[in-house]
Amino acid sequence: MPHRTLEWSSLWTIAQRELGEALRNKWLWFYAVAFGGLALALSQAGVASAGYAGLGGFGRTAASLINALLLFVPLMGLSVGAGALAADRERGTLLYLLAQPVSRAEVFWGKALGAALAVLTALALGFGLAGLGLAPTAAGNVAPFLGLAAYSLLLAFVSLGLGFILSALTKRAATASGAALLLWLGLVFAGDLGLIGTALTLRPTPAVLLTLLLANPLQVFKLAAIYSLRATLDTLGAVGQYATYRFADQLPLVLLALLLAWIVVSFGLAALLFQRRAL
Amino acid sequence: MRQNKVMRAWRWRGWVVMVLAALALAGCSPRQAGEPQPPEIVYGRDVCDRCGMIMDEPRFAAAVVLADGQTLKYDDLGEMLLQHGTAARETVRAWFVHDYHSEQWVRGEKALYVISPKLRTPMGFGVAAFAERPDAEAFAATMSGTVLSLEEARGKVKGGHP
Amino acid sequence: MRRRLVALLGLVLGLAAGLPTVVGAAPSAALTTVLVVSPQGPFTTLAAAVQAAREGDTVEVRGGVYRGSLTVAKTVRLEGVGWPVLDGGGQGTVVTLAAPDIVFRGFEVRGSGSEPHLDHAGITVTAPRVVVEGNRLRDVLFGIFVAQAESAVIRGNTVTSKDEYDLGRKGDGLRLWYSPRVLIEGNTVSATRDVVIWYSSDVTLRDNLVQDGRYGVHLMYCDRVTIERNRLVNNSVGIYTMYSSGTWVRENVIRGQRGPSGYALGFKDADNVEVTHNALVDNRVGVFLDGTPFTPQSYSRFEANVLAFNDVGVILQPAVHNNTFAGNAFWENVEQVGVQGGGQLERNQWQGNYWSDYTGFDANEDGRGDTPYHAERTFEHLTDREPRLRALLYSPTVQAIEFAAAAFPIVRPQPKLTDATPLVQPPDVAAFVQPTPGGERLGLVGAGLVALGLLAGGLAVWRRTSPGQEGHATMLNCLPRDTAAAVAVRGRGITKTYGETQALTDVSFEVRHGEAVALWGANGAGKTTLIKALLGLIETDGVIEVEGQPVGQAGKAVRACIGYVPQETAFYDLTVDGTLAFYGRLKKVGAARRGDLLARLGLSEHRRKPVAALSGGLKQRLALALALLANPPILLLDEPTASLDVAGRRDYLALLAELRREGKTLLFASHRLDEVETLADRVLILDEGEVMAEVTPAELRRQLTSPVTLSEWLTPALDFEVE
Repeated sequence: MPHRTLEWSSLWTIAQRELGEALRNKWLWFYAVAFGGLALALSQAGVASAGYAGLGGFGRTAASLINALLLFVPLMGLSVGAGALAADRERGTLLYLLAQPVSRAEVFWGKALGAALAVLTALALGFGLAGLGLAPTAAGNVAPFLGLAAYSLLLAFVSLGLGFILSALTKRAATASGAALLLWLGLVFAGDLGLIGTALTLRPTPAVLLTLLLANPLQVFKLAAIYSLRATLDTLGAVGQYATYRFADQLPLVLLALLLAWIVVSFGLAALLFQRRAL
Repeated sequence: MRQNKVMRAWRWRGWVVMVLAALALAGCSPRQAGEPQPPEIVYGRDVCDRCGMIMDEPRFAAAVVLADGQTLKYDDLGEMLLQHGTAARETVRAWFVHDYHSEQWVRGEKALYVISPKLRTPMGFGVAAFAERPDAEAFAATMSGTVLSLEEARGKVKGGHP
Repeated sequence: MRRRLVALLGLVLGLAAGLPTVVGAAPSAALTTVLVVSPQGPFTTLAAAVQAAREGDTVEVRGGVYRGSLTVAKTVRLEGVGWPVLDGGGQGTVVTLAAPDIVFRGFEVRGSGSEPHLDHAGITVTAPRVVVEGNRLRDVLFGIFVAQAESAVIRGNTVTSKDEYDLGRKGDGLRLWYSPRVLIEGNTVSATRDVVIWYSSDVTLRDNLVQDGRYGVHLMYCDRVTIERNRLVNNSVGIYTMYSSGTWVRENVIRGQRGPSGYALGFKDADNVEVTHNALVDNRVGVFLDGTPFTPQSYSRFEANVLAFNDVGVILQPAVHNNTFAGNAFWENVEQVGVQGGGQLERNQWQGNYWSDYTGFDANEDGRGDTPYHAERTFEHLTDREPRLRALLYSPTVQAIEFAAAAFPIVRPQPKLTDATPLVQPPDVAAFVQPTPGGERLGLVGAGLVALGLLAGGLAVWRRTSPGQEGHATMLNCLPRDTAAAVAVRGRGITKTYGETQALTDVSFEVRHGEAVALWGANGAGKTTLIKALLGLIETDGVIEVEGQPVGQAGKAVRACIGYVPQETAFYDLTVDGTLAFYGRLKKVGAARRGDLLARLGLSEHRRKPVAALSGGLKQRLALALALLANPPILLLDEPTASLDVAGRRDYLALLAELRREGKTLLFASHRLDEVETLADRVLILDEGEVMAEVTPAELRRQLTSPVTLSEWLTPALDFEVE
């Protein structure tokens, strides 16, 4: 029987070990607990006056949730991803693993799967606890909440893929983490600040502004999250209206496709870099 | 061999950049100079520049291009005729209305207007525009209205209770 | 004469059918007759019955479907029993009520024409004091059109439009046109275009539900209109009032208006506006004001309303002034108050409202904050100026900007408004504002997600213990291409370049089965590079075959034939057992084999220890155990005893010698003579990536002990030992 390059049992073995190690990583839990706690705190702030809690809706509470997700989820994905290959390489365990009868593809995708499962675990627990916390306030519908959770997972995978790229490019874990932090700052703040500057000085059309927005996977997530809560992007003003008009019913599909494309491209690029890189 | 694959990786990235650039370019289609153009109206989304109501009916939508290049759009021909009545003529550079039947943009200067209390228009002005005189006359006959030129229509439409 | 006869006939037939017939009780009154229409007669069409009826008569319609349009030009009561259907068949208006004081009740009206500019409607009212009550209208373009008909009562009807059109193309659910003093009460209007009230003063709308339409209520040129206790849900716009004086809006719930302009309440050029005790929740904009109040002497008051969870609570055009906002609750609107185009709102009164983002305090406990509330957020200032920046709402950047503005107050904008006496407790939400349900299900979903998380995390320890998995290695074992071949490893012209450095140059060698070959050389001689090349971890020029299989194409198969022990052991953070299990699973090796190896290498007593707690010697043994897991024919060792002390080295070499005797092929890098002498049959001497010579161990010893020859290869190997 010939040896296949991608064998599920090897891939899964590697994924399981990766998952086990990632779950012992205190940072992962820091992000999950921080997010869950924040969601709870926000929901509690939202019910400060019981009568208003019943009014429900998507005010600053849910907005702050999106804010918090935009901060925590990419940070979690990037840092888990950045550590996945670089730390292993630094310890020498990566070389030893590759000397076993496994293919590079099995190692890469096994690690990717394990890391993805770890992120899924953390997010599901974070969202689950937030949901349990929000339940007594009856503050929201189920479908948008689940939509938010699902899009967060996709965003986590995007940032995980970007983290893997950094991880594949760097030798040392510390370098990878530093690069991940820089990339995070860029995605969260620098891009938006640039956009504000552009909007105030060049006054671009909504179409251009939307394109610039869609170039950042975090903003794609934001649009998708708001759309899942609202079924329209009108709340984002002219740009949101343009997006709703331009893509109509296709909008959620377009956003979903963009996030999936980011996932495929980032992991694909990382896999390519990992495959090519000398040890 | 190895270099090839690295190249391929970069070509991938280049492809992504190109797609984004193409999207950006598609976004900023250049505005044509010279001849004034009617605005692109998104029905069901854009609002009238006079009354702030949602525009839904192309047949009655109208627009003007002012001397300073600004374009204003209206959900009812009557809104345009009222806003740019005989007193404020000098600012309008071009008038645009829709032909009642074809629902295509035509120049307002050349169009003919039928005012009829029987006609239901978005803001109740009861004005329709026609590119061709026979159409206007036939419509005026069925709706017991009168056929007017742009100048006459501008003098006729008034605000408040018609 | 003939009509009398028909009426009499109807009466007689009605009596004969045993139906209740109302007879005028007052002695002086004329006989009030009930004419019955049903598919079985006496009348089979409404038109015939109406024609037969006298003024004031009642036409009772019992079930059935009646096609064609109907015009009632006589003051009669039309009563439907058992939902008779009037079907216009898609032509014109279905029912026209053209005489004063008609009562039209209990019908299902459907199938109007669909020409919007001809007002094709379900019911058109053209005479005063008509009552339209308790009817169901569907598949009609316009619902109920009241045209120049004062004092109508439209009560308890249910109206939807034609499903096939989008909102802009549908007709209005209710439309009033020059019809003053109309009462619109308790109707449900769903998915129609607008409820339009034009040129009609003194109208009252009460207890209606208007949902999923475009304009919930549109008022134009209507004075003294009362709108109370209505629910407006999920329309594009809630109530939009233009060019009217006297609009009184009370106790309405307006929720989810999210269309293009999305105002719960909009006022353009309106005078004498009074908006009290309404709940404006979850709309794009709670209140929009343009040119209101319009005339200087008129007023506009907003009191005791709840504005909650809107994108913008109140939005005003910059020139708007003379409005009063008092005692309202501004609860968690994304932007509490906005100015279109930017600017201040100081020419309006803001007094004693509750602001959920108020951060002041109430030391004297009078219920009012001791410091004023200022609406002065920097990002709002930016979006008021450049509305497209709303695209960045909900981004952390927005918070960062607010934080920066708070830290450096110099960039803080002028406050949009100041409320000198803000409430510190929100006013109670009125009982009529019902909460949205859904909490329990959210709890379930939360629990489900927690379970999903535990499940996903649990995958880390989940093992499928089927016999196939844990049984004997079959699949991944080394599969030599030619079992009879004598050569285990063959290298020809192996060349590797790292940038400028030539790591291996034209290296060629062979290792036969059962043979033990040492790679001798100093650090940097290329030993480790060659080992990596044999394992297929780096790409090289030339040919390498292991058990007849080319390394470049069959890396995995090649590695299945090699048990590799690195120079420096590197293990994951697992126990000895866990480590063996992990690599055992990669090599498809069962628990029995793992146990045997642990026993053989003297690791059994350490199996539960974390690998990190093992001594160097035990780690080296573990590495050997891992290499032997799948019982490979070839062992590839990089400096096998470099990290061991003297005793450890002796034991370890004995182990390797034993393995050699068992028939394993050994290829190992070394710069220790004792290793070479104990194990090797032949020695390949490597220097600067080239094979300099192939010698026996004895020759090697001779050359090493001779002071002159070959010293150039050997000088860097400072720590070799000569016994």
